[in-house]
Amino acid sequence: MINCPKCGTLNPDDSRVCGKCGASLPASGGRRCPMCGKVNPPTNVMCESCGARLVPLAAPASDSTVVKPGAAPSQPTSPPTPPSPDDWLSNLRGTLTSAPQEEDVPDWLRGDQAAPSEPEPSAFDLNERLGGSEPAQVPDWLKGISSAPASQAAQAPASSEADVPDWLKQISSVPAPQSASEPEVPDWLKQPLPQPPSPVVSGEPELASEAETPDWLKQLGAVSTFPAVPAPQPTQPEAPRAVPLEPTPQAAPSEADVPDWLKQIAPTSLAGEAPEAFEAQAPESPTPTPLEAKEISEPETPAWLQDLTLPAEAAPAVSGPALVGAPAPEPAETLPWFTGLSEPEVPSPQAEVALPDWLKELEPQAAPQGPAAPPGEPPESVLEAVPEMPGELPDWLKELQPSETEAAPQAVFTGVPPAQPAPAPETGGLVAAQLPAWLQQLQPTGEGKKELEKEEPAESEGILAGLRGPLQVAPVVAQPFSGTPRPARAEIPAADLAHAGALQELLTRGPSVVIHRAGESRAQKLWANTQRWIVFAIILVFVLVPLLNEQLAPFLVSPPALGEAGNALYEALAKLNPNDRVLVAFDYDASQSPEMDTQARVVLRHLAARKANVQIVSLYPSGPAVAKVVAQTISGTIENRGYLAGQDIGIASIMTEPYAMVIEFAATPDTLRLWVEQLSARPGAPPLYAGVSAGAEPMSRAYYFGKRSDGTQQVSGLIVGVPDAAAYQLRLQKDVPGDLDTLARVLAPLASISFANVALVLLMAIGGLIQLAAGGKRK
Amino acid sequence: MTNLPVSLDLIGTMVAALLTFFVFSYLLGDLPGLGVLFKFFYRLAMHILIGAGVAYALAMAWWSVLYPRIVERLLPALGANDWPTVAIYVAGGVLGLLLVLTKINRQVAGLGNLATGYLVGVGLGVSVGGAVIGTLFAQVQATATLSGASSVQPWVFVDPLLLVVGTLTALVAFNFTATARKGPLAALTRLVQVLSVAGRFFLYIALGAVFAGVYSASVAVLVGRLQFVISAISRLFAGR
Repeated sequence: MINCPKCGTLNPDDSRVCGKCGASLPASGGRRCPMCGKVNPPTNVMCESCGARLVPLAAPASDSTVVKPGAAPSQPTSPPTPPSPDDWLSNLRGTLTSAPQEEDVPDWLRGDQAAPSEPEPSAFDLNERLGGSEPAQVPDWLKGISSAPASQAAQAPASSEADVPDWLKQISSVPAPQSASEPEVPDWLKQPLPQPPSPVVSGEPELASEAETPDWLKQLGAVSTFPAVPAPQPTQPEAPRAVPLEPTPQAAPSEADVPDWLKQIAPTSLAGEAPEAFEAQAPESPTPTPLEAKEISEPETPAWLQDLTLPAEAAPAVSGPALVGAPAPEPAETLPWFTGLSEPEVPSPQAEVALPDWLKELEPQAAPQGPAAPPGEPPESVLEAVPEMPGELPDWLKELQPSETEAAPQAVFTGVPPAQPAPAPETGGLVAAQLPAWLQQLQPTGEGKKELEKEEPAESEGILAGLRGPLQVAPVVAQPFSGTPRPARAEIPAADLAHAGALQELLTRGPSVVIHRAGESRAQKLWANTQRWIVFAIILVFVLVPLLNEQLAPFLVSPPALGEAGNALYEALAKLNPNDRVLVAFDYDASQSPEMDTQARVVLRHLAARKANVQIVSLYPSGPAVAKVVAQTISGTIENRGYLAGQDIGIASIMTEPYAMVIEFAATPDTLRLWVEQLSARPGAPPLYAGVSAGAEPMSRAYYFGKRSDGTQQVSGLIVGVPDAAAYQLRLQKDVPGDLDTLARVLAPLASISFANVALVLLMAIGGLIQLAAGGKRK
Repeated sequence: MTNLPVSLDLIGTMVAALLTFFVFSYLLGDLPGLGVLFKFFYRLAMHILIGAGVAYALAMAWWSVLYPRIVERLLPALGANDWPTVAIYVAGGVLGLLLVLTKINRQVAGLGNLATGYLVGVGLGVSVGGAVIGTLFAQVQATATLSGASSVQPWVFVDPLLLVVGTLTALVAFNFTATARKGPLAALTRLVQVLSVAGRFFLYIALGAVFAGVYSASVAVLVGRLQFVISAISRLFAGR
């Protein structure tokens, strides 16, 4: 549970605001993400929700000695409870404002709001501290300001010492601290201010500990060599020493004590102090590019921090007058450095909506809109413009606050983060959406990116030729294909497509008896039907003639003879012993019975003559009925076992019984295939003989040439259609007397089929001749 | 039928002949005026055929499948306390009931999956083994074996050679994939095209043989039905 610091109400651990009073609650037992506000476990370094870094890159283990700009003087004694790393801004806020409006505070700024009440140091105390034993808590960028030699001020633009208040002079007389704990200070703070050619700049940055310093910080350290300082110094030569924040009595801060953002902003602010206005005062000062000191990328720096580093690039575009001082009065809580940050964001009314109230209070009221001070004129101090608000301003600031008649020293703001010139009211200015304007100001600009591209060497060869900087995958992938498409290596010929289409149509479309073309008239349809009737009538006549006069049959056709396959069947049946079990399958129905019955009848006669034990089954439900009709004409041992369910399963089941042979009468090749497969897969299976329809012969005869695993034929004997049935019957009549059918009766159906075939051939020939006579046109 | 009275046998023959004419009336279905009547006769005959076929199949399922197993095998097994046999037939009956449930109630239709799975599994196990051994291996071996002819004659190798060539070229004829016009595969493409043409001729011959067989079978059926009609008419006029 979290106790509300305002009303004391207990709230759940994950509460962000008090359920009673609405006050913001500090994170309880965890670290609140500065980006998304999620409370993470205390040991987390990265946010579980958004992945943002919870702990600054150089966050110290003990934050009691964190140097906080503006807050350091107010904390001469360490607070009883050290704030968490992400509470630095809350502490700062608690120090700056006595009654912040917490509802408007962004989450990432929320934190330990209970700023300890600290003793109010007086200017005298500060002077003692400046010369005290622990001056290392002051950032070096402030040290650099304070340690600027007096000669720098001599070359500064005109500025009278009378403008410097006495209290600042006292402070400025304090020598620049050289702490023994200087190695713990960030490198960029260690470096002196840029010296050549401006007397203010002391030299190039000294990256003493590059291994521990992030690259972007190194870069910023180099950027900090901007000759930004000389601008205020000519007017306020001793002002840097008068910075009240410079000396602190606290323990020497380590490098990690300084928040990253402050590391970044502080040198950036130095760079930001190279505006055009200042360039006019020190035109010869070198302006190193922001990326000169950048050597490698910073892998551990969060993206938002990287974004914050980029304003150093845009710093040169920042105009100085707005930074130097605002003519308008400032809120009492605003510290000088913070005033510089918040100055340019005021003019847009939309920006006010986005800003927290406590930041609004910190904003200058009219300063951003004021015109830039001329280079030659001493700018007004921010502190000078700050009105007195005794109730909100810390006492130590009150003591440090100069009188209204005193001009604030320019050097005070040499370390202020960059500030953009206030946009004109009529232009509307920048509109901040969510972030405070001073953060938006730090966003990278197009110029900075261009400079980055300039600094990054482009690849000269390889697949990355022409690319610079980090490889941008998305734009490369998104590029449309600009080359000429390769022609297809091969194409499907039109003839193959036609054949494939014809085959597809043949397989998908069922047979149609009558085909009428669209647009045919009634007479044309009648003529087409008449042609069909004529064909049928001709075939009917040729079929009926032998049937109506059977005696003509022996003169029309010669007696057929069995082929090799038929003889094999006949010989196999002739070798049967009495009571041999023979399985006969009638796998056809009534529609094929006129053809198949002739075969079955003669075979059953032969089996009966051999006194075989005939078992009849059928894979067709109607097969037993057909078999019954045939078996009625046969006298012998015939058992009709009926329908054999299960197709191949039924075959496999019935083949467990011993049989001397299996005879299959199949009107289609499918049933014959089932028998062949099951008998071929069963070792020791009886031989298979078949009588098939003429339509099933092409697919069935292949099994006659097939061999089983034991070397026997898959189909040992085969008769086909009516001709083989007639031939079988004629041979049977020779060997087995008693058949009452005469030769004419046997040959009559065969003569009819032969006549029908002749008629069909004649019709086809006549049709072809007619078409040929018509010129080959197909109507 | 031979034991039936002549009059009843004759009536049955006449009905069958009439239904045969009804089926043949399909040929006159496009005749103007009477075409509708002929179509009606044809449909009447077809409906009778289908209805009678279904009824006969149902009767056959009972008399050929269920009755022998229940009355002739299960009940005697129960009487003889032959429990393994009883278990087999009871299990089959339960599976059959589960299949019936799939058509009765959707909520319990899932129970039929057990029987369906059993049928499909056993069916595949039986049919796949037979297809591989009985058709695939055996036919490939028969195609590749040059000793198919049993007699030693000059053309002993012609038949197997034609068989092999016809099979391969017929398979190539169904090659509808893309063909290369240029490059090293162009020669192979031309060879495939030539083989494809040869395969199409083999297909023409095979399909012609199938058509001839079907036509011959149809004519045989026609002849058989005409023989029956002639016999029926002669019996009608003879009065026997």
